[in-house]
Amino acid sequence: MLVCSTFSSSIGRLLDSAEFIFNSDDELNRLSAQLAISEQYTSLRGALGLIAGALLLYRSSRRSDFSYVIAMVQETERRAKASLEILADHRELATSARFADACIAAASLTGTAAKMVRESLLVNGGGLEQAELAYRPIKEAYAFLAGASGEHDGCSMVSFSSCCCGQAVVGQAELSR
Amino acid sequence: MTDYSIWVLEYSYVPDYALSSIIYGAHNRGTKRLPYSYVLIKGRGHLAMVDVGYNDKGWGKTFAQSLNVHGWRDPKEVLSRIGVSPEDVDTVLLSHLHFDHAGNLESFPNASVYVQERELVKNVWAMSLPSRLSFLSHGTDPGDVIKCVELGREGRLRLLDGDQQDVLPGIDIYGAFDTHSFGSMYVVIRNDGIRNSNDTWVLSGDLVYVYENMGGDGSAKPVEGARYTPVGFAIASHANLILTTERIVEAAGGDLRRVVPVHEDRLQEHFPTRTWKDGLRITEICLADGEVSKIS
Repeated sequence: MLVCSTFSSSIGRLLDSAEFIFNSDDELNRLSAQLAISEQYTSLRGALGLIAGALLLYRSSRRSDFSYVIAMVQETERRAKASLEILADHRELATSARFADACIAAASLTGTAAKMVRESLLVNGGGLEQAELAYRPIKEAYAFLAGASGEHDGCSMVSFSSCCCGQAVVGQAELSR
Repeated sequence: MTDYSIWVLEYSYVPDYALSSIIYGAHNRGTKRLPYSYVLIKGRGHLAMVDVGYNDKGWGKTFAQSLNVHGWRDPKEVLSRIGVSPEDVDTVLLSHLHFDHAGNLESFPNASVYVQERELVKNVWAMSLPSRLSFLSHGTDPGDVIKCVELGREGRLRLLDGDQQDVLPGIDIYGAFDTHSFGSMYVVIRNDGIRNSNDTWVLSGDLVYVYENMGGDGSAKPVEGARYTPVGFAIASHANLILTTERIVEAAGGDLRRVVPVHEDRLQEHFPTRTWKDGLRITEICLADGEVSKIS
């Protein structure tokens, strides 16, 4: 019981803190929207890598085996569609409409690119030549996401802590602010 | 006979990098200057780069400002300091796809680009994972994967499957999988051109940051009793990093100064070096027969 009562009082303190931090439901909703948008940024970033990877695989695949290409294109389309829906739902509450709009534009272009690659694989599709026309919307989608990249939004194209030994420097930069 | 000239070209640096990020486990031991560099190799009719740095446009600039990266210079300016231009480069060997090594391919419009297929495939795989696993892919810019599509269309992308001898005459590639990254590689230059060379240089990419990773202190030989300590970051296996370090030291014939780590600030203590007004350095590792020094 002691554990339970300690737990309850901890929760109580947390709720008090939450009430202090979030002055209103609106503020909490805005934070929730921001988190949802951040999540979609990361998902779209991955989708661009995926559709680019599909094009690389397309080029190196034999005509008879496009199963991996198809799977990658389907996943890209699924992500683009889901992102468009979630971003549309949360745009009004986004702390930065410009940022949300950039993500929406990127999602739309990513979906367009995936559709182009998918249609190129149909029996009467245009094959690799048509698929690689998707390079343009992929580049444009990337430009939208890259332009919106910023560590402070929780959305970044790359993270220094995931490559050349940057964790501690991130810490220093944070501490110096 | 010496076939190739080798220069290490700094393109930016961080003056106060935490040592614990460079040498695994070296916590609370202060900071040191960490250069960001690529390597230029000239000889046998070729001009080759090992890695290309990152681009300081857009998010790159934000990144640099937030992490105290100093002095970034465009490859055009950096290469001009030794009298060549990026358009002259015919070969780029990517040690791995992290953005600070592979993030400026557009500056080399005439180069064939070599990268391990595994590095490309596994990074795409990592990007396909749910967002909560993005740590696995966040060292690579999807823009660089997109750039590879363009290179493929132009016939300039060369995918490697592990080791490959004589990628250029006398220059070998060795895969180092599941180490610092999924498909890293290092470069061995046999500068006398013979198979059992007595004149090898090993360009270690990010598999070795500094001499201490090889149990050294800047001397030619390891410190007595010292052990290998991996670099501060590995997406995969420290065990594989340690075993790769052994291969690298062996390839250098046990002479640690024959290993060229591009993040090592003390290269200037062992090789002729010129420091420019902006604080960036060019280190001349060796000169081919007939080549004139670029730093005197």
